[in-house]
Amino acid sequence: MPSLLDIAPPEISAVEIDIRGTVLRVAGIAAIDWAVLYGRFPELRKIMLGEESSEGRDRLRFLAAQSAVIAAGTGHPGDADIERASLTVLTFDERQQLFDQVISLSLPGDVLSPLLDASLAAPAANGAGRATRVSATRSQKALSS
Amino acid sequence: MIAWGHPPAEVWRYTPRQIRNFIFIANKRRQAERRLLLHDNALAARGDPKALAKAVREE
Repeated sequence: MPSLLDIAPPEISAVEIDIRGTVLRVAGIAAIDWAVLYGRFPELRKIMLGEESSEGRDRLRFLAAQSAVIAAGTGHPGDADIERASLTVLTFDERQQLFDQVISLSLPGDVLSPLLDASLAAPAANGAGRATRVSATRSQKALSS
Repeated sequence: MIAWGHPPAEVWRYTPRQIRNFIFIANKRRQAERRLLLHDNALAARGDPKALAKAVREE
């Protein structure tokens, strides 16, 4: 069963992550911002669903998409400066950590979202849980290729 | 979500995680309401006024 945090507004379920002494507040991304992200990076959806293979993919483009997700998750959707900073200032592991956190706070389970999948199976018990790890693992796999 | 009474503008501001879980909860509630409705209909079909009156009192 979903917990209260699973239906709480993103600002309430947000978490703080310490990156080399700088505390970043990370929250889930709203559906409208996901729609914008999918519009900008159509391949992002496929990668997160594990439908796109890592071969032949434009790595820089995926890093740009990842940075856009991080910017949106830290409260700056579409902010080019933040996206650039995410790409240039953060290390691979830091980016991955933030990206995974944004995904786990935003998405419900092993399907990307009800915007894409109409099936209504029970969500993961703790909201993010198993499904988030699936997404994160896939993303990691995609990134490390 | 909108059919269940959530304002469209608000739904767009939900995270997919929220949407998914709201839908899950709404479906659970709908199932419970259907079970109750079936129960009441079955009672009414049996035509036992005492049982019917008892069910009404219980609510």
